[in-house]
Amino acid sequence: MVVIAPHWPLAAAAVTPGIPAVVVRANRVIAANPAARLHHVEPGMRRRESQGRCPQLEVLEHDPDRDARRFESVVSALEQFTPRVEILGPGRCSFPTRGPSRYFGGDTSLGEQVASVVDSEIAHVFGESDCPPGFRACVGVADGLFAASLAAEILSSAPSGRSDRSHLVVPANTSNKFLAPMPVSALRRWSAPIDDGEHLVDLLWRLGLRTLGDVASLPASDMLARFGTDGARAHRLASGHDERPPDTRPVPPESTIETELDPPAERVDTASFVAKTMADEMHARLARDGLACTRIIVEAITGAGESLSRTWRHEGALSANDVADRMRWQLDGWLSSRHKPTSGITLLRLAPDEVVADVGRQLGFWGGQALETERAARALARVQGLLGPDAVSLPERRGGRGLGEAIGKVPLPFVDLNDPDRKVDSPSADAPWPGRLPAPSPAVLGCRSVAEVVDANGEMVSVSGRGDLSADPAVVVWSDGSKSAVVSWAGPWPLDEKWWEPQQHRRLARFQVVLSDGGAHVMSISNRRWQHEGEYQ
Amino acid sequence: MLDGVVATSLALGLASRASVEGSWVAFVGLDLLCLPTAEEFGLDLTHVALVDDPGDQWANVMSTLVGAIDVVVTSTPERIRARDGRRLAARLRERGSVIIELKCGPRSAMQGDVVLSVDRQRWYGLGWGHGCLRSRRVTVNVSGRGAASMSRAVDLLLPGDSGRPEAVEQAAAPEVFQTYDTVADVADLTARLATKVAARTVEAGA
Repeated sequence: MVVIAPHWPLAAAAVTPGIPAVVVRANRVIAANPAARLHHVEPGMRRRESQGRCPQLEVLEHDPDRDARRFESVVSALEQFTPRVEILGPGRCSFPTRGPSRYFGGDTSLGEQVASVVDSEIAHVFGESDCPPGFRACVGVADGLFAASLAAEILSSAPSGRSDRSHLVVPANTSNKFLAPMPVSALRRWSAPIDDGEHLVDLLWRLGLRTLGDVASLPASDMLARFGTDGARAHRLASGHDERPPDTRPVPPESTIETELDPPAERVDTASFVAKTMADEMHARLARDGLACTRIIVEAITGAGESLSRTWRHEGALSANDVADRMRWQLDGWLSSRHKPTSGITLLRLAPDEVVADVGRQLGFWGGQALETERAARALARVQGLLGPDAVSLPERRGGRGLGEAIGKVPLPFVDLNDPDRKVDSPSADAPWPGRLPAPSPAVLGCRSVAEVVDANGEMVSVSGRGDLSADPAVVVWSDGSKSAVVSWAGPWPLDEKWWEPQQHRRLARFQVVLSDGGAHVMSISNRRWQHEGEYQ
Repeated sequence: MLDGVVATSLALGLASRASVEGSWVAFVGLDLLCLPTAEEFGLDLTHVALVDDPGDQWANVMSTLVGAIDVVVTSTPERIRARDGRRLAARLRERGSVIIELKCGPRSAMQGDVVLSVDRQRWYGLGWGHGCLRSRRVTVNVSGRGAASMSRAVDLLLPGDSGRPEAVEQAAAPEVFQTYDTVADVADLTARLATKVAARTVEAGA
């Protein structure tokens, strides 16, 4: 069974449901509440675009810590059904239903009860008596995690008018029938552990495999032969199996890490500091055995003898940082919840619950750079903290005719540096832009001010409306009065841009000149005024 | 430290060499830098960050970036405090980044391990009323301390016909110049010195 709390980032932030609100990360909307959906604000939009559609929109920054912390209360409410709740991520959890569903009167009845308990918890997060519509829990029951999460997502992505159904039960052994009509793009979801889902889905679609049923009908060996392990995994998922065959290998007992905390940790920061070293240690021990873990158990024992335990699960292998994050979220959830432990934590235990052979990951050619990029991103964020939000910027290819216009600057807050597919191109970058100066470009943009360029007789050189030059340029007079003789030159290269926009209309003629000191410059004349555009410094 | 008439191009040439190998490059206080030129020199734009105006926080910004970012290109403000200079020097020793400093004022605030300066440049491709700039030949004087203490001169095309820095045909050049025949080698030298030379000191001009 998979339980999804829809729009969880917004529920965690406890934004009043009637106010349109979105959560953004790196300038992209990642969650929008039903009120915002009414204004056609959808996840994936740029921040500016969403604000354009709904000016009164409340914009919140993405905060995974807050999401995870608040989710703890929902998970602990589910403990009345089963102790084996696994958290998949903030807003999503799952548990095996075979035992509980017999006790609570079948899958359907269990689904109803779980949904009503989670609803009341969500209502509590909002501080209201009733769960606002659109935020109600969605429960999916099916044979495997993939099918169950898909069932839950179907409910949560239904139009916000969903109020009649809180759960979708796929009867046992019919998951493959349930999955068959689903579009192949379902393989791209978070619940499908496929490394390059985007690419695989695109390829399958172009090959004419439009539904999961199409994929499942192919022989598994062919999928493996043609698409590699990702293909084999996609086939397993599409056929309603788990993503890998059950693995009964025992977890090496020595990979469990225990740390006693003395004095007992009452605060999250002290505990999470220890958690980080524990995560690194566990990761190192598992790596020594060639293993990676996909599920961890975080346990804490308090000074009063209370024992807290929670399982976190991830579809791919968890890295040391992922483990540390989850431990921190969990500790934060415990220590800041309503039912917080009566005394500080004295013992922390971290145990891998499910391990898989670490097949390693073939990083891209520059993949090893991820760590460096992360380090650079942190340093840049600190500089931004020192100087202000617009102080740090990153280049973006935009295209343009003017010097230096072809590459613009985007402030750091609008860019997600840790995105491995980060692009520096905007759509107009590939256009040909006739009228550009040919390479090489000057290294420094107009740093000197020029008074005029004169010909051999001392008359100012001008360019007529038809692009005719009055005389050959001979001397450049700088505004401080000094003069430099022109050794060679070329031009005029006229430029007439945006004549349809009176405000931005620009008309000028550019020259390249080499002066007597050997330095090369770009000069331009516009409205009988000379300007220094750039220097080849 | 880079000095002379083509300092910016030389800095881009050095930084691009590190950039194609995946290093991050930051430009601090160079708001007039023309980014398309940087790309023409081979800089990987996905690994470039710009801090246009560090204001009076220059020393703080630099010590934050050093260590996290491999190559920091900057123009040093004319006055930095002795304490800031020492702190930055200590961080450089510890972290192994490279600072490429463009000399803008009358004298530099830091004393680098390697000083490159150019006093002669010659452009090709532009005539009297025709043609366009294509390539430039410069003579780079390399001096410095430690391994670089013997001063040398290197002829380079900056840029060459390919748009990137190139070595000049070595046939005519004296033998002693061949050791550092491309900007790339100079970049290697800079990087090596940055990591190996322990006694890097920064003298602060107050």
